[in-house]
Amino acid sequence: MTLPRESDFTSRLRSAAVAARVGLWLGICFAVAFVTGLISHYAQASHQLVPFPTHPAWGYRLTQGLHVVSGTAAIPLLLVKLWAVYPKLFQAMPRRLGPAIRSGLERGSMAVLVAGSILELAIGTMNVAQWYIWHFDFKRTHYALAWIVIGALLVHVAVKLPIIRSALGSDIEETALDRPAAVGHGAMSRRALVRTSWLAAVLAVVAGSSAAGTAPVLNRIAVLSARSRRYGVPINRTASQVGVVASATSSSYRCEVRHGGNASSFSRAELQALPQATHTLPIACVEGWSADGTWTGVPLRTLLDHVGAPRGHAVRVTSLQQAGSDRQTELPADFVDDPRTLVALMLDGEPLSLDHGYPARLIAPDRPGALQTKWIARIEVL
Amino acid sequence: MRRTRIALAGAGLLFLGYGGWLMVRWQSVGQLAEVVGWAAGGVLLHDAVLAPLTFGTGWLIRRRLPRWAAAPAAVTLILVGSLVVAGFSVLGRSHGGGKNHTLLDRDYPAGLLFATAVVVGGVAAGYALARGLRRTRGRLTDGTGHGR
Repeated sequence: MTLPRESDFTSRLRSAAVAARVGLWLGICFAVAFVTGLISHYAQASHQLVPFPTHPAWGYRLTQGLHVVSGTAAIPLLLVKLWAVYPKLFQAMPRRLGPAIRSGLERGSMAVLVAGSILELAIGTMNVAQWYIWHFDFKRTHYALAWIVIGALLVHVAVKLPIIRSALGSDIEETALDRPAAVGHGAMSRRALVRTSWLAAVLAVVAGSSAAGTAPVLNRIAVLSARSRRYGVPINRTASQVGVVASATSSSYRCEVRHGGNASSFSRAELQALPQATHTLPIACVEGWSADGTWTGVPLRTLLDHVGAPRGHAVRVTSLQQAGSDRQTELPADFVDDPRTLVALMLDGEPLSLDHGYPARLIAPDRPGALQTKWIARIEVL
Repeated sequence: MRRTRIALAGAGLLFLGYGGWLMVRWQSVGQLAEVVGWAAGGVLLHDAVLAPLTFGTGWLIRRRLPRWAAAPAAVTLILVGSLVVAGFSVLGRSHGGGKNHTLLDRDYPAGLLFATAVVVGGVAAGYALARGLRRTRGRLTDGTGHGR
C-alpha cells in the first residue's frame, strides 16, 4: 500500500477558508480553557502572592464550568479542523535545503500542536470520568501540556497569519487560497460545514460535558455526562474509598482545633451545641460539575475564637483519611475569616451523609471542591 | 503584520519552553516516556485510523448516495461522530463508578442511541423543511402557486 498524495484529496471543503473559520473558534475555546485552567491552578496553589478572592461565591463554579465547556466544545472543532488540513500531511518535502529545513521546522511545530491538543483534550475528558489508566501525574501533565499547546498554537498562528487574514477577509467560497487539486464538490457547502461544526460543538457540550448537568433541564438530556445528579449533590471520593468509615462513625470522634499551645476538641454533639449558621454555597469540582447546597454548621471563625486565634491567619485542615492529595489542605486567611466559611454538619436540612463528609466537613465560598476537606480531624492555625 | 508575527512566535516559544521545562521538572523519565507514548498514540489513532475512516465514509456518501441525501447524511455523521469521540471516556463504562454511585451513573450506549435518534430526526426534519420552503418560494416566484 502506498501513502496518498496531497493531490488525492479533491474535496473543496478541505480548504484554508474552512480551516481558518473553524480554527478561529477552536483558538477561542483553547484560550478560554487556558485562562480558566490557570485560574483553577492558582486557586489550588499553596502559596498565593495575591489571595484568591472569596467573592463571588460562584466565581470558581463559573470559571471551572467554562473550562470544561470550552474543552468539550473544542473536541468536534478540532476534528473538523484536522479534517480540513489533513491533505497537508502528505505534502511533498521541498528538495532544496533551505525550504526543506523551514518546512521541517513548521511540520515539527505542527506535530507538537496536534499531538499536544489531542492528548490534552483526551486526558482532560478522562479525568472528568475518573479514568486513570496511566502512571503520570494528571494535574501536572495537564498543566504543563497547556503551556506547550498554547505555545505551539501561538507559533502556528504566527506562521499562518497571512493566510488566516486573507481567508477570514474574503468570502468563504472564494477559491484563491485553495489547493490546485481541491476542485471536487463536497457533500455540502463550506458554509454548511462550518455551521455543522458549531452545532457539533454545542451538541457535545449539552450531551457530554459534566458542566451541562448544572442546569436543571440540561442534566436530563446530558446523556453522555459522567454525573447524572439523580442522587443529589455528586461525590468525588466516598468514605469507603478513602477508608474512613470506622473512624468517621466512631463514638470517640473529635474535631481538634489548635492555635499554638491552645487546643480544644469537640465531639459532633458539642459542635452541634455551638451557635449554628446556614449558607447556600456551591460545591464546584475541578471536573466541571457544580451544585448548590444549603449548608448548616459552625462558622470556622467561631471555633477559632475558642482557641484565641487572631484574624488574618491561614489554617491547615486535616482529614481523617490516611492518604490522598486531599488529606490535608491549607485555607488562606481571607477564607478563614469569611463569615460564610463553615465547619458544616448538615446539608440541605439533613445531617451530612458519610460520603459528604460526616461528622464534619469544610465548606467555603469560591473554592475548588477538592479543597473542601471532608471528615475533618484537625484544624491548626498557621 | 511582521511585528505581530514576531511577537506571536516569540511568546509561543517562551510558552513552549516553560511548558517543556515544567513537564521535565515534574516527572520521572518513565512518566515522561509514557506522556510521549500517549501523545504519539493519539496522533496515530487520528491520522491512521479516524482520518482514513472519515475519508472512506465521505467517498461513499458522495459516490453511493443520491445527491439530495448527501448533505443530510454528512451532517448526521459529523454530529453523531462528534458525540462518540467526545463521549469516549464514558461509553464503555456505564455504572462503572464502583463504590461511588454518583459517578458514571447512566447507561451511556442507550444515551448515545437516544441522541442519535434525536440527531437523525432533527436533521431529516430540518432538511425536509428547508426543501419544502424552497419549493414554495419557487412556486410563488413562478406564479404557479396559489399564494399572494
